[in-house]
Amino acid sequence: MAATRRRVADDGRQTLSNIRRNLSKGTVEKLFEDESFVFELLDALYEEEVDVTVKTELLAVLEQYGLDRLEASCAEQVAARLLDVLQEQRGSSDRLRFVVQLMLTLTSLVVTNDMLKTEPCGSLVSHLWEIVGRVNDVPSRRLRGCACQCLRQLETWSPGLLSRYKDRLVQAMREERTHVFQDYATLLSTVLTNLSARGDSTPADSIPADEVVPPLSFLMDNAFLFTPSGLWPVVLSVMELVKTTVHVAPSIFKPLMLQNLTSVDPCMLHIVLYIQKAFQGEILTAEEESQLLQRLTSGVNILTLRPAQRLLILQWIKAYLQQGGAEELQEEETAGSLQRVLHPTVFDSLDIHVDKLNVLTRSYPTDEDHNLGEDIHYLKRLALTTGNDQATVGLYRVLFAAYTHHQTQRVSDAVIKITQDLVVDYPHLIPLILDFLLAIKETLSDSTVYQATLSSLHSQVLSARQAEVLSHFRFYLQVLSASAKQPHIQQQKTIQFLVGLVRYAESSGACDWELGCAVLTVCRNLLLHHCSDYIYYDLGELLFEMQTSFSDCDIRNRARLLYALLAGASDEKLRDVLGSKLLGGVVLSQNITNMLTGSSQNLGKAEVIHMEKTGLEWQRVSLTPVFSSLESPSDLVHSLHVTGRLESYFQHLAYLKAELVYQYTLSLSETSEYEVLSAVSVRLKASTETFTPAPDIHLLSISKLGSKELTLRLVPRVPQPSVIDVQAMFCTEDHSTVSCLLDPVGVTFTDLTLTLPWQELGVDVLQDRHCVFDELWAVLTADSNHARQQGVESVKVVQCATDRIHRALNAFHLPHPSGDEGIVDKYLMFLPPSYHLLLQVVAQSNKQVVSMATDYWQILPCVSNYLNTIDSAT
Amino acid sequence: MSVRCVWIIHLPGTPNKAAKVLFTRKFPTVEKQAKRASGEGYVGVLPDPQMARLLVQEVGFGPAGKKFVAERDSCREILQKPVFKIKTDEGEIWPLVVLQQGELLLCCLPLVEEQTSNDNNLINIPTISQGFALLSSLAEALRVPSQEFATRLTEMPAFLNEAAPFGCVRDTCADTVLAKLTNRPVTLHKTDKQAAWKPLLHRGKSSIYLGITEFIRASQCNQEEMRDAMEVYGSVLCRAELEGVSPDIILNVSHAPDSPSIALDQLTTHPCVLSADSMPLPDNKASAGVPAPRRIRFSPPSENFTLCHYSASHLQELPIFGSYTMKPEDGKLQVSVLLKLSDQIRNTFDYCELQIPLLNGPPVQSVDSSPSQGGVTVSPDRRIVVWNIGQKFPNKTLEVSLTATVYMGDKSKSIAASSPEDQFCVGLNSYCQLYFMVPEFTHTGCHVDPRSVQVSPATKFKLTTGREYKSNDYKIWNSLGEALTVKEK
Repeated sequence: MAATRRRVADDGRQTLSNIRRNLSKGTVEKLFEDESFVFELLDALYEEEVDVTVKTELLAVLEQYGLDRLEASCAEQVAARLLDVLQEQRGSSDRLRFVVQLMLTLTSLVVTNDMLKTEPCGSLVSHLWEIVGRVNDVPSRRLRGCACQCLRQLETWSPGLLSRYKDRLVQAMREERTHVFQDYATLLSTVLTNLSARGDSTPADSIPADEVVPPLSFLMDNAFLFTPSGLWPVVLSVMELVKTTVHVAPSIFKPLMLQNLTSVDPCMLHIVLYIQKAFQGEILTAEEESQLLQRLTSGVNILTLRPAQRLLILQWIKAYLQQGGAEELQEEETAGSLQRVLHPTVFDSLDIHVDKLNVLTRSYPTDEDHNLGEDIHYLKRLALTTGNDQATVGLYRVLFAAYTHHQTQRVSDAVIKITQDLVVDYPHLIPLILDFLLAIKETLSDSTVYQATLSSLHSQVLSARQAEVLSHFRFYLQVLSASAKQPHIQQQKTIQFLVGLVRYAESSGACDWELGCAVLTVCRNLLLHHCSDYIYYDLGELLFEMQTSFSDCDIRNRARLLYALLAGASDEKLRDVLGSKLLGGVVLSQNITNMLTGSSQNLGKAEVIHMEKTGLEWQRVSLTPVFSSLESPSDLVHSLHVTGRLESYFQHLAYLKAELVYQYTLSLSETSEYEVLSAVSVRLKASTETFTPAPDIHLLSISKLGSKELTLRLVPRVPQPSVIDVQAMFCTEDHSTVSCLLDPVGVTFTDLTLTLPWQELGVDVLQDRHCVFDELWAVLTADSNHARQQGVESVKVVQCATDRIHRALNAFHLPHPSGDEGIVDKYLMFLPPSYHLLLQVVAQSNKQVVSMATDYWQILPCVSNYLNTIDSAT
Repeated sequence: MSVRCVWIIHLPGTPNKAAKVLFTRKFPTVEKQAKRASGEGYVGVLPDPQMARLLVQEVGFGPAGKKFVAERDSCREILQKPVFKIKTDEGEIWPLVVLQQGELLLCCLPLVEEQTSNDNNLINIPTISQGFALLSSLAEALRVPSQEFATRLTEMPAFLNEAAPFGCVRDTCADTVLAKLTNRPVTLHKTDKQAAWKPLLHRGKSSIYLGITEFIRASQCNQEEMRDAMEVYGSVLCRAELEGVSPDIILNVSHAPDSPSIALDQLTTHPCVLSADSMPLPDNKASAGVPAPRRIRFSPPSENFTLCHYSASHLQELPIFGSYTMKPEDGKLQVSVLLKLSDQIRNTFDYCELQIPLLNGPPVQSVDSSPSQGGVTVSPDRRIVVWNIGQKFPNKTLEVSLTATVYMGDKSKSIAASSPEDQFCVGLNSYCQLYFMVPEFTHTGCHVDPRSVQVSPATKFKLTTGREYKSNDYKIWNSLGEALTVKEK
């Protein structure tokens, strides 16, 4: 028996945990798709073994998620069973929470399933009224309060349902002495409102005065006994009665309004405002209304309130002024007082600061903007110093409010100046600024500020450095894209700028898909909004440049499409194709093929033929290391923890760019089956871990008649000898696209050991070079147990004469400062991009003891091999 | 007039984590009403996980965080905080009232019964204030020690059944709702009428506690073109344990003898106040001798409550005048602070501490300091230099000073401040902040006159009064840098 009870209790808990699991996933409604699940829940309610808190929770779940899925017959069964439980449980004072939830669920069931005219609803009303009838019974007061609320729901959904109880309700409300008086009063007010509005065309006569006035007076006389939120429904009911009967005047609210003018409670304040707006000029005098507005505005500055409540009061002020209260501002004194109170302080949060300014700018007479500069001082400083998105969003919201209200030159100038200043330092704010400009353009018919600001931004972008624009192209190109839509903005410079940008991106290895899309968006807008006669050559050059610079097929194809449109279609056709009315439409491809000359045949995609031998050959001619200076420190330079002379040395090193420039000769051998190859592209497939991406090399053509010089520029990321595969692709005389492999490029240890560019590194004097050597040696060979060990040291003995090793390493030798030969010979090799290999060689009879130190230990095996070659050469 | 749904959401610790819905309460009868009112424009609430994700994004805690999001931040979007709107595939869900308390996001969706097209006027929607008040009461109920939070959360269904059955908000005081849930017996006389906001009646010895907490906020710039800003404000807190259903209390908020007499601008009051001299101070009365006492008559609720709030805008002198200079020098900061206490202020502090936040940049490695009194330490996160000044300024000079060299640590551990105000503090832009509390003192001189307190019906009671004066956001800007200020009118 005990085991059965435990099992039942466990079932209840399992059902509940299943529900909770589904609640967290947002799928609890699915459980109720199975009708039996509802009855499973109901069964649990009858089980004594199931804990009452579990039962309460099951009922709450049923109420929230299960009721609107029941079939009519099923709903009646559920109602009948719940009524049974209510009948059984309503007297038990120790299960108040459960009975309260039961009443709520049952009432919700009746309402949501439209059972208001059915028998279960009648039974429910009887049960509830029986509970409500126990006036002044203290132990059942919670149940009575809840029963009143249930009856109010039923009365709301079925007006007149409780009209027969009206007199008893009036009596109950007068007699009730506990705190649930409020519930009786709320119920009564609903019943009275429904009675007065009952189906008559002349509602004024629908209910006699002696039935309405005494209870209403009683309600309003006891308004003080209501909670602020509990007063709301009563006030709304009374307002409805005031509007629908002739017996009650709006002045019934006056004592309540005057007493609560100083209240800080959000509900009380709202009630007063609501009544005032409904009966403007009928209850409060002009002076009292001004007092109300003054209280409302000063509420914003009650610093002990929650910030959210202060913000809510600000919304009410905005709404009050927006909804006919604006005439308040006609009075200079009221407007002045409002402006004083609403002027933001340095202590206001950003939200409150912005909202205050939004109200403030609207409070100034139209076209008077003399305070804008002072008003936005705080936000402007914050935005200009930090570039913070939130602060800038706030600033532009205020500027938007200011400009929509005061379309003056001064505001316009302020917008342009602030925008220019912000874009210089914070390009990431460009989307925000463009959104503001678009909002101005769409909201106001006058687009002067839009055009002026956009023109200014456009010039600013064109005068920016290409490196800067490339590093933030996502933002900068949005400006060019927007300005490209403006027919009055000259675009030749834009296109030239973009050509330069694409070339710069190509040389930096930054021609990626995203950049291509951004540039093509500008091109598309140019084609849509400008006469092609003026941009034909420049835009053609840009689009051609994109077809060659970008390796991404999507970008090349899209650039080719635009190029074809530019070259082959009239402006009108071009706009039809690119215009929004066709974009996204299924007919787009057909339209393009129909409109472009020579494009009506579907040629299909070009096939790439891979060939082992094509006769294309190349040979290395030379290798030259090239050192140059960077404008900003390179991220390739590794940083050692150094001090003293070396600190300055490494600062120079950070700005040093080291390139390995290979010259190759490309030729078409005599045995080749082709005479001429065109559109030759050579691509190096170097590992991006070892080298920065090298740009593809393009040649217009090559023939058997002559070879072509090619320059490869490799920028190592680490000094790692490697072999780079090379692919060539070209177009043959019969229009086939062919690819083949060229001899790989070998980057050897000797290629990577360079003479240190002393002058570029600011070390001109030999003495200083020795200092650098010694200090570097000391840093690299510091105690290996030390946590900050930065290099490695190694020793190798080479069997050769001194002059042989000296000849082999002569380029890296540091002559002794005195000019004499020392006991130790020092050699310093530079390993690009920023590593070092230091050798100290001491001669012992016929062998050389080579001590070496480096900050790139992976190179040591290569050094060893290299020294072995000297060794074996002897 | 009801709310359609209530959510309690736990905000994620980091923007990339998902928010978790701790509690939801839906009201099917209100949802049916919403369908009837909106017709074809009805947009249902989303399942909890989606709702939480969109809400968190809308209030700025999502993955996009504080970055510009056009759908939310565009100038075209009407700003109605704390009322928000979220966009779903079916349409917009509006008006969502949102309140944040620590890691909790409390939210409800009030029912809009009669909304005309494009009418987003918040005065016309009664449930906005009800929803806001309901969330405030939930926040109050959930403000418990962390170990009690889970238990309190399990009480939320009962709490809402009592506070808002069928979503109809009827009580928004957390204390009274919790008291109603206990259903303790009360004895009422035939003539009594118990207020809905006072469900329990006190039995036993009578006592009244009246305390004033006054705050000062200040921003000192020490720059010619910018004026210092300061604000003094406070509130009177009350707890009245008196027998009877509706006892009345009358008291005067006046100015204590031998203390500053700065007039209070006006009073804003609790709904239990029956009458009060709360009118705004006329401009010409600001400095005309000792201001008249302000009389308040009220019928107190059972719980602690704030009887009234006040502010005082006619303060002439700062309580502590400060001068702060900070100069960065090659990995260290040279700092100098001088503080002078006004002779109008009681020279006894519960605590007095100066903090120099260094929130942008590397952490503090060490501080070499020589304060004229007290001790200097660094906060555990090594972002704030703290000078504990002690309980008293020197009686003779009323001045204290600090010179210090702050050595900054590893630059690689630099962080950027999160709030825009703190991001402003770069280079020479810097401020220090003063935290102090003076017991039994108010700067305005106002107090509750114990002799004026009367209770009706007359009864014996124990009266306790208290005052305290605290700083709140008391900044002194580096005189060598820029200050974040507003231009005064």
